[in-house]
Amino acid sequence: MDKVLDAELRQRVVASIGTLLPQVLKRDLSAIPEDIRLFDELGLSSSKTLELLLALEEELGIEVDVDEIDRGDLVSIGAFADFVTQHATPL
Amino acid sequence: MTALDAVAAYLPDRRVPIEDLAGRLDLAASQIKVLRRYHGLAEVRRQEPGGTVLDLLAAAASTVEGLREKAHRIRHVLYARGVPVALPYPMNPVHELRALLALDRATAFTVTHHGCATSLLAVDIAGRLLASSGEPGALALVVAGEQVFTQDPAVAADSRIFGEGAGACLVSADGPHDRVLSYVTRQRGDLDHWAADTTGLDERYVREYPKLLDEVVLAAVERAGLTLDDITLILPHNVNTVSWKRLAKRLELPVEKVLLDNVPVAGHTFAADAFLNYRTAVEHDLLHRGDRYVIAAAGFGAIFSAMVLQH
Repeated sequence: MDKVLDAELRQRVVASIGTLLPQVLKRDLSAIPEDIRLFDELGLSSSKTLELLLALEEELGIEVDVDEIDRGDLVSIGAFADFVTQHATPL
Repeated sequence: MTALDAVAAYLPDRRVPIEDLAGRLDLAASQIKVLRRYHGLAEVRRQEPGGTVLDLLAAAASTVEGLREKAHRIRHVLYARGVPVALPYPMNPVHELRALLALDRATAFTVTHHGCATSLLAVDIAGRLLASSGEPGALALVVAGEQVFTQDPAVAADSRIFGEGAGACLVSADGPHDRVLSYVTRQRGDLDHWAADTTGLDERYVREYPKLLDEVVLAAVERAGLTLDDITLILPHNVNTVSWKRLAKRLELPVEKVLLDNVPVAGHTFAADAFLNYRTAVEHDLLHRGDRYVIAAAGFGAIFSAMVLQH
């Protein structure tokens, strides 16, 4: 069963995605709404998404169980943030 | 029924952590981290400087059990190659290998264009050639293994790292072991890595890959008249661990049924993975008489292949 979402952590995850995404994509982004699609609209690739995930771990001091991730978790920023929050363990 | 009479594999001693390859492969530290954490890669093997592809292939072929005694029965030597450009023209070690092993009664040729699934194709071709000749006791030697020579962007290290290693096997048309129960191969030309227009190809390939791999494994198992419950082990190509863990999950197989031991220590040895993993399975006592197992691989050009065998 999924863990109950830690609202505070999720908020930090979303904020960090906003900071880290431009670095991973190597371009400036203006507003990044949660429903924006990572692949189709932002042009993120699978490997870039994984880089983003590992950068999030470093930034937030968490470890994410990456074995469980699947494509549904990468549809949008919101879905990605849910996944990270649910599968994070504090370091 | 095609059978593997004997299988051998070779890995060079020199171990190279993937971090040491970052410069040559143009990988950022973050990409190395992804390869380690997510794809399960850690190190690859490399020959000593000056080592040749012939050395690599000969190291595996010369340890095939009974090769010397059976040399006079070998009619074909097939080099299963993963990438089209593996050596500078006009080098082709398969003829030198044939001479080195004194296989005077064999024709030698290269099989390619099934990417890293070419070893399965070569086994199938070898079996068909032998069966069509009808010569009792005739054998074919299939070898695989390459140096990391090409700088083709299609082999960029985004989800796998190539290592050097080699495999070899003797194939018979109707031997007692290991018998090939089925072979299925499929190509998706629209996902070909070397297509003229590769716009958005990587993401489409990543998206479709799991389904295509599942389908070919299931099709081979079904063609063998079996179900997944009958399968003892899956010998994968060593592209990474994550794609196989996911396959196990999707097919509801215990992940222990997929032999992933060589991914972190050898990386992806082109078409030699099949033979390398077979040897590991035998050495770790994971295959017993009568066990049915699958060798599965995907290759450049969007080739998906699976073979079911009985030990």
